[in-house]
Amino acid sequence: VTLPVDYRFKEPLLKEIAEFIDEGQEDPERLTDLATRLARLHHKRIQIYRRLAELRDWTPDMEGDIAAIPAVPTEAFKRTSMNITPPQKCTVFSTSGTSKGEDNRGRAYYSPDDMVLMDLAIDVNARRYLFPDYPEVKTKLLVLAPSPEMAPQMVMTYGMNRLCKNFGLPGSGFMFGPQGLDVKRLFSELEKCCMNDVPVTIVGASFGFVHLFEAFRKNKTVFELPRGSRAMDAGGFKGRSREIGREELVKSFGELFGVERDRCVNLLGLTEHASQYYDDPLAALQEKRPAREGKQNPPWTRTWVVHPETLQSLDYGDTGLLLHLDLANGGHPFMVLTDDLGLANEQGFRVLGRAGGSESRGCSLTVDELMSSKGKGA
Amino acid sequence: MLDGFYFPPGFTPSEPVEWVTDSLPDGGQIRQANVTPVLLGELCSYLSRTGRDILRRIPIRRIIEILDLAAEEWLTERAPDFHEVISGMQSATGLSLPMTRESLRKEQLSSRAEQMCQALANELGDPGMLDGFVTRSDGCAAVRALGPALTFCVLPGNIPGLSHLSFMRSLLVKSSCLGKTASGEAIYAAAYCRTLERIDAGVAECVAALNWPGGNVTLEAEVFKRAEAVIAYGTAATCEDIARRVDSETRVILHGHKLGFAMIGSDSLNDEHLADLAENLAYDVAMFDQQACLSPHWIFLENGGSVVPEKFAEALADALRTLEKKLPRGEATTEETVAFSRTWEDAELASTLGEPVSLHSQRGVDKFLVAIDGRMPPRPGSQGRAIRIVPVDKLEDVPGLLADYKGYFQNAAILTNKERLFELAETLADLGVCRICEPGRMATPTMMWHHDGLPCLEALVRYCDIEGYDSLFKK
Repeated sequence: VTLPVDYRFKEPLLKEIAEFIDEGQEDPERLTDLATRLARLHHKRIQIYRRLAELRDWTPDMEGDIAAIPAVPTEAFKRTSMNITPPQKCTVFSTSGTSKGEDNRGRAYYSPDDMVLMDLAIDVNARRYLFPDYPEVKTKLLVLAPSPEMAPQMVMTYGMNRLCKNFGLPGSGFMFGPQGLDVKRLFSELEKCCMNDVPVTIVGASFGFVHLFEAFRKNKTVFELPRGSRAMDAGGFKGRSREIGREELVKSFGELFGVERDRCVNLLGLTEHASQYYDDPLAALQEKRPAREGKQNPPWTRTWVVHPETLQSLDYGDTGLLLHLDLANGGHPFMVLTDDLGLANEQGFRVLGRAGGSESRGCSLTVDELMSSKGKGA
Repeated sequence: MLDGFYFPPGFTPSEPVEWVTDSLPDGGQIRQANVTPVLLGELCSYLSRTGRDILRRIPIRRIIEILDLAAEEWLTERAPDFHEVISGMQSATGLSLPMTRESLRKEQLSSRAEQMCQALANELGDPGMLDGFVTRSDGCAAVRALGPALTFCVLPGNIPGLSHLSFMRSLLVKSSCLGKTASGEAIYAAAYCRTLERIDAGVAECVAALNWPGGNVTLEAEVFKRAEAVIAYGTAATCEDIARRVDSETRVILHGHKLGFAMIGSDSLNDEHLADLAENLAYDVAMFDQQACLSPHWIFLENGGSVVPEKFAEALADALRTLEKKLPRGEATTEETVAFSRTWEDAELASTLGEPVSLHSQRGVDKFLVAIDGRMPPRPGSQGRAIRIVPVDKLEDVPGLLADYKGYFQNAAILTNKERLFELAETLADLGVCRICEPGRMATPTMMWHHDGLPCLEALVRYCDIEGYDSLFKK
C-alpha cells in the first residue's frame, strides 16, 4: 500500500520485513525465516538480548521453532534502552506510567527504520480491520485523545494521527484541548457530520469513552451517525473487568451513536510493539464471512499464551501471559512478554487484563503489601 | 461431601439452617451453612452461655487432656474423615499432598499436653487459677484468671491445620470459640470440632465453625456485640477494618501478615556443615511454600567465611531440588505464579544488566528460585519458594538494611556464635522481630512462643485478685 519507494533501510533485513508487511499475506515459512534472522541480528547488536538468550539457552544457530526465540519482558523496557541503533537516533515512546511515578515508565526506542515499519504496519492493519471499505467509503476521524503535539511520547496518539492523515476526510483530528476532552467541539463536529451525511470514525481510549458516555446520558444526548460510521476503542478499562466494560461500551456505541455492534472494534496497542491487534468484525463484514473471535494477528505477527513461570506455550483456553512476536519491531526487541493475562483459541486471542499483585493466601506478607505499607516509623 | 461448618450438638436455631454447596478446585464438594444475622446472633448467645456454664466447670487439666487427645487423633491419622479432610485441604490450599500432611503433622506435634502445660505455666504461672482462686506467687493474695465467655476467631487461610490453634487458645482459657473460616481453607476447623465432639460432649457445646465472606458488616456486627475477645489473622487492611468495628471493651488480638529472614555468620559457615545448613534452610524456605509469616525471604550471608556465596547458593539449590521430591511445591494461582515469575524476571534482568545478581536455579526446570542478590536495600521477593541470598560484610549491618520495613518482621533464623547471637537478637527485637531460632526450625514454633510478640493465652484473660487481708494470707 504505502511502502515509501524513496526510503533506504539501514538494515537490508528490515527492507525484507517491510515488503512482507506491505504484501500483507499469510506466509508462515517466510515469517519463520525473517524472525530467525531478526533474532540473530538482535543477538548480535543488542547486548541485553544476547545475555537474555544465554539465560534461555538460545543460540543464533537455532532454527525452526520461532516460539523458542527469547522474549524480552516489558519490565526490561523500564530499565534500559534497547535498539540496534544508538538511542540518540531513536524516537522514544513511553508507557503512561502508573502511580509509582515517572521512573516506572517503560520506554520503547524506535529507530528511523522502526518508524517506517511501524507506519507500514499501522496502514496495512487499519486498511484491513478498520477501513476495509476504503476508499469507497471515506469517514471523518474524530479522535478522543490528546494530539501528538500535546503528547508526543504516546504511541497511541502517533498511530491515530497517522490514521487521520491516511484515511480521514479533511477536518479529521483530535478532540482534546488543554482541559482534556472538548465535549462542545465534539458535539458540534458530530452534529455537522449528521447534517451533511458524512460518516464518522470515532476513535479513543476505552476508558475515556466511559466518561464521555456519562456526559451523554447526563445531557440526554443521542446521535444517529450516518451510514458507514464506525467506532474504535483502544486499550482496556481501569479498575474494571475488561469483558464487562467492553460489553457496556459496545452497547453504548449502539444506543448513543447508532453504531452497530459489527462496526465496533477494539484495538490492542502496546508501546513496545509497532503493530496493533484488532477485532475482526469490520473485516468480516467486508469479506462477507463470520467474524473470528478475539484479537487478530496480522501475518507478520504471532501471539502465544505462555505459562508465566516456565514460559512454555499453553493450550487453547488456558490462561497465561501474552507473548507477542512482531516483525515490525525491526530494531528493538520483537518478541515481548507482556504483563497481560489472556487466552487464545484457533480464531484469535483475548486479553483478560493486567496481571496484578496477589494477596497472600497464607500469612506471609507479599511484596505488594510490603511496598504499599512500607515501614512503621523506621 | 465434607461439611465446612460445625454447630454445637445442643444448639437449636429458631429458623431452619439452609445449606449451600461449594466446589473445591479438584471437583470435590464442601457443604456450608448459609449464615444469616439471626443464626449468627443465636449461635453467639448460645456459645457465650456454654462458655460460662459448661467450660468454666471443666478442670483445666481435663481440657488439656481433651486437646491432647485431639492432637493424637490427627497424628495417628485415626480421625474417620482423615483422608477426606487431607485431600480436601490439599485441593483448597493448592499445597501438595505431602506438604499438607507435613503441615498438619507439625502443627499437631506442637499441640501436645506437654507444650500446653508449659505455655500455661509460662504465661499464667499456676494454671489452677483458671479453675478457681489460687494463692498468688508472693503468698499474700489469691488470684483468679477468667477467660472470655466467647472468643471470635477470624481464621488463617492457607496453612493446613493451623486453624485449630485458635480453638486451642480459646479453650485453654476456658472460652467458647467461634471460628470464621477463610474461604481458602474452610475445612479443617470443622473437622477439628468434630474431633473434639468425639472426645468430649461438653467441650463440643463450646465450639463452632462457619464460613461467610469476611468483612460482611451486618453479619459481623452480630458477633462483635457478643464476643468478649477477637483473634484475627489477615492483611493489614483486614486487621484495620476489624479493629475499627470492634468496641473498646473487647480484647482484640490481630495477627497481620509478616515476613521472615535468615542470617548466617562467617564464623559458622564451613564446608563440613554446608550440606546440613543448606538442608535446614531449604526446609525453612519450602515449608508452606513460603506462604507463612515465619517463612524466610532473604538469607543474609556474611562475607569472609570459608564458603563463598556461589557455593552456598549451589548447595541450597541442591537441597531444594532434593526436598522437592519429598515435599513438592503445590499449585499456585495464576496471580501467584505471575508474582513468582516477576521475581525471576527481576533477577534475570538485573543479572543481564550487570547488576550484582546471579541465578542459581533454572527457570522452567526448578520449582524454586535461588539468586544471589547484592543490590541494596534488599528487595523482597515473592512467595512460592523464591529465596535471595544477600551477601553482607557484617551481620550487624542487617538491621540497618531492613530498617525501612520495621514492624513487618516475625521470624529470624540466626547461625553464629552465642555471644553475637544475643547481641544481634537485641537489635532484631527492636526491629520488631519476635522469634529467633536455629535454621531448620523456622516453620515449627512452640506454643511457648509469643506469637507477634504477644502472650497467646494471657492476652485473653482477665484477672481478679483478693488481697489486703493480712489475716488470710501468711507470707
